[in-house]
Amino acid sequence: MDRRDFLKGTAAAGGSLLLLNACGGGSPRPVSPAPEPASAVTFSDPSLRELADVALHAARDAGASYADVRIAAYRRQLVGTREDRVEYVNDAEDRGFGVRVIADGTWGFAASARIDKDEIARVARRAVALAKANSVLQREPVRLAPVEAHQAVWNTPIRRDPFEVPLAEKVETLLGINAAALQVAGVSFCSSRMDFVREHKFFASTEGSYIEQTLHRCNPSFTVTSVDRKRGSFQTRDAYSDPQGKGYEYIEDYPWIEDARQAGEDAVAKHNARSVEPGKRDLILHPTHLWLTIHESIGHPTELDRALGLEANYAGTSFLTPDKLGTFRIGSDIVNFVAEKTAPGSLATCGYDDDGVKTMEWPIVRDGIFVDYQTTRDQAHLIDRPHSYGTSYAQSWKDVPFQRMPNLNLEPGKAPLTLAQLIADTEDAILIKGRGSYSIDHQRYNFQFGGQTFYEIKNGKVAGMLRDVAYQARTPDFWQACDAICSEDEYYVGGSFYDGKGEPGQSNAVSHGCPPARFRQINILNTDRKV
Amino acid sequence: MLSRDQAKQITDKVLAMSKADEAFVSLSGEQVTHIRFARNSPSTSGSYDQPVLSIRSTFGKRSGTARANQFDDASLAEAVRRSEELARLAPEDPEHMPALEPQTYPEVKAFFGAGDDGAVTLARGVSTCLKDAERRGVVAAGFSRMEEGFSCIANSRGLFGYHQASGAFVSETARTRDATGSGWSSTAANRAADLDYARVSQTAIDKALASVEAKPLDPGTYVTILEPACVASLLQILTWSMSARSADEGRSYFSAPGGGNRLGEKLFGDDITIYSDPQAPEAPGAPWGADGLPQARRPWIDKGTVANLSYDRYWAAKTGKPAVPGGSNTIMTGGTASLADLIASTERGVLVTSLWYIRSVDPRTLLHTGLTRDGVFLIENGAIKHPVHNFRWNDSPIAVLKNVVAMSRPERVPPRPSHSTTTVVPALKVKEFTFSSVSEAV
Repeated sequence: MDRRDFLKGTAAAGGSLLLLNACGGGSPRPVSPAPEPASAVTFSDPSLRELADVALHAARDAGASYADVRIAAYRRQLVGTREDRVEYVNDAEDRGFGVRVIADGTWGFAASARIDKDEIARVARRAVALAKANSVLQREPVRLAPVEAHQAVWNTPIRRDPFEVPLAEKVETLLGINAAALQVAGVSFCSSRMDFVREHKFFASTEGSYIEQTLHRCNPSFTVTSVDRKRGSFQTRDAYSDPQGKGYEYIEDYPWIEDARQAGEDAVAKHNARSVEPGKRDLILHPTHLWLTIHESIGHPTELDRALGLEANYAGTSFLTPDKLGTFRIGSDIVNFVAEKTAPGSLATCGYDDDGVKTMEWPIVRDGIFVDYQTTRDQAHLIDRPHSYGTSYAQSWKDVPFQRMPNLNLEPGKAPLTLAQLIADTEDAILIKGRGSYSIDHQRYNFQFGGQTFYEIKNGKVAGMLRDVAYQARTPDFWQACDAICSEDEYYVGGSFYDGKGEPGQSNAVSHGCPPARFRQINILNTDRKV
Repeated sequence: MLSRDQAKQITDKVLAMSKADEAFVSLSGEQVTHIRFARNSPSTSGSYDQPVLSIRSTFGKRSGTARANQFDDASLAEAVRRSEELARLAPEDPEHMPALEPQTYPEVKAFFGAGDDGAVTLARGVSTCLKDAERRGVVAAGFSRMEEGFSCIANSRGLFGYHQASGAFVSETARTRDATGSGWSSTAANRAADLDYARVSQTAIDKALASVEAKPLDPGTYVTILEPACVASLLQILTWSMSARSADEGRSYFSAPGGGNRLGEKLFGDDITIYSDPQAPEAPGAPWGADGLPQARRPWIDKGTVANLSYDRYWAAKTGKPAVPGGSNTIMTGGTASLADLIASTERGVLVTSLWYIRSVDPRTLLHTGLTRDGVFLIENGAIKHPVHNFRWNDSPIAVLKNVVAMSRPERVPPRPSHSTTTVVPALKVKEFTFSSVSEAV
């Protein structure tokens, strides 16, 4: 079912059309893994392998027991507009390489933007020198889980290369969005933007792998603002679009004009929406919102580096300590989460991770029980896993690869259940759509989320808009309060373009698929303040 | 690192390649060395050189920007070509401002580099942290980095600026082995050799040991002492929101009811002064801001009054005001008390070490939410009584600054989790701060 069919379906079911636009242009639920690499491997440039070998040999000669190298080129284009003008058109290229080694049982890493054989050899030796210098402080030697050697090429399957799309077409789309929103009476401003990334990297390691990958992702969005001078107030509504691991086809498929008009109406309507009464209420969380709650409350605490204390100084640790593996109930028995880096169109999807591990899918929560973590090669042995799940990633040639979140998805309910049916089945609740404010503690217990729009559900019907809504909960209490999850045809993939972690800070793009779900008796705050 | 002459050779070359009506070039380079540790052992380390060239080309009122990080002639020519191609394809920008004429920039002493990569200095510092952690029986995690870099701007009207800076940072989280206590500290300096690893380590471990057996304290509004790292986080929110245009457009806390902005309005007490000054020796900042506008010592809040909002060149011209770039550092004048004095003067209150995961909740009031982290203590009768659980808080930096009752001496401290070296703030004692729920996270 594509989005437009879905919209027709929900409208026909009696809901307000844009209130119920569940699948705002996101991916359909993926049913097959990412394509296998080409059987006959031909790299785009034979010199990449020669350059990589220079790094591996130099590192070995300097005393490394393991080495890998990523020679990478990143292309990025950003176009931003507001109202009837283009604010910026930026096109960036960033090339370089990073060499990572283990020497004397200790990691070392060095990187440079100058890609030639002498520099590669120098940088490889420098990485070894750093490892050796720090090895006197090392308590236990680094151990890597075994990995197969791969020689492969993998590319994000895109229909249309965004870097080949004329600028005029992008500008026309963005200015069209702004114009559509500004046609709504009471709308004051609209800004819109597109951000495209192409990540090309050639990975080689002393395990015998040579892997070339080209990854694409996009992040289009807009924000509509309505200023009410009489009240001295303003309200905004962001697009319900989400970043995707897709090409320009996502821009072509998304119903921008429809969403922009509705966003305008929503922003204006927020001024007169009823301010929410705080207290315990049931929540129905739309997938355009729920993905972020999943990201923060399930994605991050199941990162093994957090659980082991490796992120203790920055992102934090995790309440899901290894002693809870296989026994801890984090959700009700209808709650199942799966991690993967293989779903077509998702942001973390690739063929191989930055350890050279072939990507895969594995369960994280089964029937409400926490069953596994996200791992990398240097972590797997710490929880007695025979291999890595392949979640190593570095944002750039200059950054050290480490454990980053894969796509992590809430499985749909098995029994057929549409959002319209879920609403009809709900007596008193708040429906939340879109990504709003989000904050969670450093062990991932206590969280608070806002949203873009809030609707009161009374006796099975949408009873009007609310504002000033945020909800607070404790992660296991929240997921144990989940008593309904919509089925497959409501599945939607949202995601984050900029998930931050690590020191120096690195950004990771990651998707989360989910259907709408209901949570009983969650604490609601009213966020209106006078200062 | 490129010298002034080497940088100018490149910017001259790029400007000579340009066929555009106007071109603006920025060139920067950064050498970074870093080490991370956790579980009382190094975890990762690295070093890199990061060069970046950006060129904005303009034909008439059409502009495009290209960035590249390779500086050979062919790569420079390609970057110029890409920016010009984008500019030709871009629509006319009705807000385009002509290139800035040559400017005089303040002399800023911000480079204190040792000329080496600092790996040995960082390893020695981290060794101090790791030995202390072993000796005192805690588990340490942390990060230290140093960077040396330059930035340079030039345009086709002859504007040119070159600036060098160095900086260094360390932070540590110490946790008790049973994970019931956690403490944190950080500091910034002009170079790695000046980082006080021993003090950071001692503070983090002291706080970790002092925070075990935390007791629950009911959420609510309390007299609160916010240590400087907390204040740095809150002031960052404030300074980021001080755009005149957003205010004039009615979509900012600084919008005046009925139109216009709050420039000149007295919001806070006479003792609240926040300014930026690129030449401040305690935390030097870049000598120019957006578009090459010169920085100067500039009050943002002067004795409680909104003294400046930032104006980009277009908005300044449209509203008849001088253009004002956002500051390149943030300094808040404090008091003369010590943190201990603030505690001693408090009958009942809460002491907070750092704030975490701060996000906007309502831009109209600058209401933000976040958590406390790594050391929260109940104060009674002028002394710390016992540690308490972490809180989620919902409050606004505006309300915080309105509620200040005492301040400590300011110190250079990065807003957590940033590694910024350009914030100097005091601890604040405020008469109320709103904790909305308890977090059991340690």
